Amino acid sequence: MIPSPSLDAIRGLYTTLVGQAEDCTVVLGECFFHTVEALVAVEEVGGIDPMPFFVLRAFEFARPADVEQLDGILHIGRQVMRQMLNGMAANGLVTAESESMYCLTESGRNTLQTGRVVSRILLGEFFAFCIRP
Amino acid sequence: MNYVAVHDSKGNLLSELSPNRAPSPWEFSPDVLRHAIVQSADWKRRHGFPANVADVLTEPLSSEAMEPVNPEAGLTDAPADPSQGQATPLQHLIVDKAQVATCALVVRCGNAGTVELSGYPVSVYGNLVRGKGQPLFSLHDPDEIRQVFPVLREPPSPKEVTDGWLTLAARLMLPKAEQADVRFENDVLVIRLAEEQLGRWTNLIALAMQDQLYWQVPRGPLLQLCKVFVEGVDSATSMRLQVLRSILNLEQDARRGAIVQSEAALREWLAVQGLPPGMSPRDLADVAFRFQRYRLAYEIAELEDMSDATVEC
Repeated sequence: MIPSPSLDAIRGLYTTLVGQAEDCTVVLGECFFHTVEALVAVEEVGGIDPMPFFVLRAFEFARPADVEQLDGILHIGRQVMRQMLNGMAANGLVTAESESMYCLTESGRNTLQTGRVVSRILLGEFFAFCIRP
Repeated sequence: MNYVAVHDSKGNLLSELSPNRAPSPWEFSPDVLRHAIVQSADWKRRHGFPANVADVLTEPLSSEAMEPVNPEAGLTDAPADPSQGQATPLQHLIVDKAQVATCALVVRCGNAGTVELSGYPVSVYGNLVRGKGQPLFSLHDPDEIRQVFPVLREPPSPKEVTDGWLTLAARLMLPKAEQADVRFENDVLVIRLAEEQLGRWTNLIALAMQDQLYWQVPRGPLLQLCKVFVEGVDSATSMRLQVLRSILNLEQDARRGAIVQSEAALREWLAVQGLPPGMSPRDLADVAFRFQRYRLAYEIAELEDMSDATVEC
């Protein structure tokens, strides 16, 4: 409901907001908003831990790039290597071509070059949209 | 429907809009949000839209996708808040709340053709809830302003101006207000007064002549705040108003005591006020009395009485 202020309140509001300014218009009204809560994917850029980064670098030397060859370069154990690769696949840095074969994704190549990883986090965010009063 | 960055960190400035007052139909399409997400970085910066939002999820997530990122992979830190970074089965549903805020919308036009609209929340008493430097939201794009507030493009219609005036007259309890000729010009409500209204609407006239009278004129669903100005319908009425302005000036003048001390000083002061040459102190006292400036009227009239008494002696 638009208020019905006193004369003094109107004068105070007008003089406070306009002052001596020219080309200034003040109107009172109700503004309606769609306040929307939605699940959004938020991209966050952060540094990559050394171990996954070494795995990404190992892709440059491993031929073919399977778990065995990669572990042959880093010597961390095949099970650990497989867990590392699964985690990196979940984050879109590598993709599994078969049970043991992996290859770098575009995101993985960018991370290898920059040392930065773009991760997506799901968040509930609020957004306000104003509609005509 | 336009995205606006609402600066309401405590969440207490927007109130829920009851269903019977919400514009019908009340609908929100996720495409509106998607449209905002794909805008350029410059658009997001200007509108205060979060730059890192990449997508909106509207489909149920697979169980795999709902699992948190494997922290053991060392790629991303697990969010400190356990509610973040995970999705519950119904979290893809978009919740649309109808909210409302009563605002004073200030439209400022810059020299370079720029237009800025800022919305300041106001209370039911018409006072600013927050300081002038803390608008609830701002719009900077002229097209967007026209789109959200199309009514701002057009001046108030004659009927809206008349309605605004009659509401003011009712507030001031002015008799026969419908007889006045009113217009809206350069964001000012101008009231043309006839001679007979001078004596009836003294309170309104005195306030307007002191630049103290502001009112609100309907403009579609909005109310435009404006200054109220009075003018005479003819030269005689205009002259009476000018006399009144001189009296109000004299009342506020720091040298008032010295001016009304002698008739010569008063006549000297009158000469620089641009009043007609034949204006006597008695005429001035008469107008002051009619506009309830009794003390000033008495002081001026007494001058003339003393002068008469001196002549008679």
